[in-house]
This record gives sequence, C-alpha cells and structure tokens, in this order.
Amino acid sequence: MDESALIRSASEGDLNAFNRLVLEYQEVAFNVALRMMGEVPAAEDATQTAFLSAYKNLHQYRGGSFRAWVLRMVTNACYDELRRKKRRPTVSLEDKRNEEEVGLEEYELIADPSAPDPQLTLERNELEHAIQHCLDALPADSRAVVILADIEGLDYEEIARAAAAPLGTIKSRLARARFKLRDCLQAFEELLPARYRLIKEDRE
Amino acid sequence: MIRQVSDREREQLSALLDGRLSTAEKAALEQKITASPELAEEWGQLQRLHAMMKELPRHRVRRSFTLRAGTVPERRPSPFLLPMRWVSGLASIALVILLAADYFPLLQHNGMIAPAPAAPASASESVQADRSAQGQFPSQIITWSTPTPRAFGKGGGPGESLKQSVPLQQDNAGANMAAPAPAPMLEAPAEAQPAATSAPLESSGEKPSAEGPILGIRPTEEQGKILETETPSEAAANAPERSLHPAAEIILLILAVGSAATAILLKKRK
Repeated sequence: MDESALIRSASEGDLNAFNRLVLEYQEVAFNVALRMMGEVPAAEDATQTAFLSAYKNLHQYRGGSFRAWVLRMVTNACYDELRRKKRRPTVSLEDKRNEEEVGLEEYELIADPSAPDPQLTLERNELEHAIQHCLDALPADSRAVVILADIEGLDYEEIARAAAAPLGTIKSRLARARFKLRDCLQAFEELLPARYRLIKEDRE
Repeated sequence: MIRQVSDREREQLSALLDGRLSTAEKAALEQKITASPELAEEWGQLQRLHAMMKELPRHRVRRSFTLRAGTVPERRPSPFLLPMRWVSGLASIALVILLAADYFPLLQHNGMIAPAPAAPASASESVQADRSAQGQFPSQIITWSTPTPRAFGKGGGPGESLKQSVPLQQDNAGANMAAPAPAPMLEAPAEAQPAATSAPLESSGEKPSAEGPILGIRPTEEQGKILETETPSEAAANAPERSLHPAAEIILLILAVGSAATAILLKKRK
C-alpha cells in the first residue's frame, strides 16, 4: 500500500495504517525532537505526543509533503514542551538520572559504515556535543529552522510548512541562526579537531 | 580597514548555500565574494558549518512510537452531527412547503380555494354605477374593436394594458360609450392590430370567452362597454402575491444550507 493510500485509510480510522506511517517517520521525528530538546527522555515524550496529535488531526492534512506535516506536529510538540519546561524549570531526580544515564554521547547511534575508527567516532561525539550546546542557545523557532534545513535537509517550502512560517521569514531566520551557530561554535574552536574548526588554520 | 559584512549579505550567502539565488544574483554575489576578503571568509565559514551539520550522526529510536488501540482517543462523531442533520432536513422540508405555497395558487388561502373568477359584465356595470356615484374614477377595462393580444387573458387580472384612468363619457344608462378622447399610450402599441376583429384571435390561437372581458372578445354589441371596474386598492388586493413569507424563506434557506454544511464538516472532523 503506498503512502497516500495509507494516509487515506488512517484518516478513516485505520490504526494499523497509521502505525505503518509511524514506523516510516518515527526516526526522523525522533531525531528532530532530540535536536530540539537536547535530551532523550524529553525527545521521546515530544515524539509520542506528536504522533498522537498527528492521528487526531490527520483530517487536516491537505496533501503535499507528509514528512513536513509530521515534522510540524513534532516542532509544535517540542515548542509546547519547551514552554512547559520554561514555566517549571525544576528538574526531577528521575529526569536528572535519565539525563546522566542516556546522554547524547551514549545514545545508540545509527551504524555509520564510513566511520569505523573509534577516534573518528570520538571526534564526532565532541562535535555533536558542541553543536548541541550551541543549538540549545538558539531561540526555539531559529533552532527548528536550522535543524530542519542543515540536519534533515528539508527545502525552504517544506521548512515553511513544518515551521508554519512564511517563506521570507524562513530565509531570514535560517541565515541569522546559521551565523549565530557559527559565532557560538567559534568558542569551541580550541576543543574541536582541526578539520572541524570554522576558522582556517592559516589565519590563526 | 576590516569591512563589516551586513545582515543582508549574510542572508544572501545563506541563500547562495541553499541554491535559492537567481543566476544574476548569484553572479553578482560571487563577484562581491571575490572582491572582499571579509565576505569570502564569511562564505567559507558558512560552508564549513553546513558540512559539519550534515556530518552529525543520526540516532536510532529506543522504542516504537506506534499507537495502541487502548491509548488512542476514539474518533467518535460529534454530538452535534445528528441534530445538525435533523435541522437541515426539517428546514429543507419547511422551505419546500413554503415555496410550493407561493407558486401554486391552489395552496394559497386557508381553504385552498381558488380566487373567484371575474364578475360578469352586468354586475360590474352596477359596481361602476356605485363607484361613479361616489365620485371615484376607478381603473376601467374596456374592450375595443381592435383589442390587443394582451386583452385575451395573457397576464390576467386587472391592470393590464387596456386599463385607463381617463374618465369616460357615459350616458345615463352607463352602458354605451361615446368615442373616447385621444387614448393615452397603451402598453403595447406595436401590438395593435388594424385587421379584422378575429385576426388577433387567430394569431393567439385562443377562442373568445363568453365570460369576463379579460378572457376574450366581447360581442360586438357590447364593445365599448365598461365591463369591469376595480379600485386600485382592490386591484392590489386581488393581485396574486409573489411570496407569502419571503423573510421566512430566506431564513429557512440559510438554516438548511448552514446546518448541512456544519454536518458535513462535523462528519469530516470525527
């Protein structure tokens, strides 16, 4: 059954059809949520909320990129969770324990055949830690745009749909987010391997 | 002096990275990059950042996010769906009944009785005498030697083309008419037939009726007689109403359409 047939069945109440769509998109949804939230438990909660919301609002899907539509559910769930956390900044002991146990570095990565070298894996972990730190410093809407564009590879139109913002806003927001990330990462220059440094060696 | 890169230029660099510039814009920006070391440095850093972001690892999901039947909110139809359907149906039926009542004269009046036909000439003449006695100059229907097709029941009722408000000369009997003053413009002067009396009948295909001046040609001896008179108020009262309850019809139409649309939307949103 192709995607449009699955969507049609799911919108008519076929839970099995909807779950097939979930299996198709859960990885990209979780990775976006993880970059938005910065921690695994919050990302899992946001992803589950997003799929529940997607099932409930599937009748509102009007065609076009279904990936962008699902990611809109994910970004909305992340915004809600971030606002909730901002209102209640206390962290429970359990969350803290979960954070420590399942940091990004320890989280199971998708096997990367191009990086069998442990050294390379370590470098990538350091890079990821630095980038995540700088992503966390961005406003939520700018963070979403740069994640969707530079990590997930969506085009401007899909990003506009996923972020529920006009195209012009997406362009300017993405540009500002990228250069803010650049400025933040320059603080990690000393910690990053040379190949990941933004400033060229000959200028140092 | 170090040149500051503007926000606009940074936005252009970002668009260049995503291939969103036109050919002309791209060429102009590349020329500027070549000419400005600061701009070239910004462009280089942006490209390296983009490459680093693309190298970020992807993470496997620890668990499935599929929904279970017990945890999924049931999709029940809205409680307003059935009432909306009923309202739409009843409003539509009521609208149809009202429209039928408007356009079928049999359904007008309480007893569903047709309005009484026009009074015969003799009765009208007596009415005319009464009206004259009261000093009124009611509308009059007069048949003439060359009636127009409109006189033969096309449109019916008083107030048709031959009706004139010019007071006519009458003898004491009120029966025979002297030749009238120059007639005012009739409604359909082009239709006046100079031919014999029977010609219009042939063209219209109708036979003269023995009753009522409107429906046919009066016998020759009665031509020129005042056959029926009505005051304007009577004419207005007898005129069939176009619509009995226009406001009610509009309201019912809006109600029927609105509730049907709401029911469709509620069904889609279940």
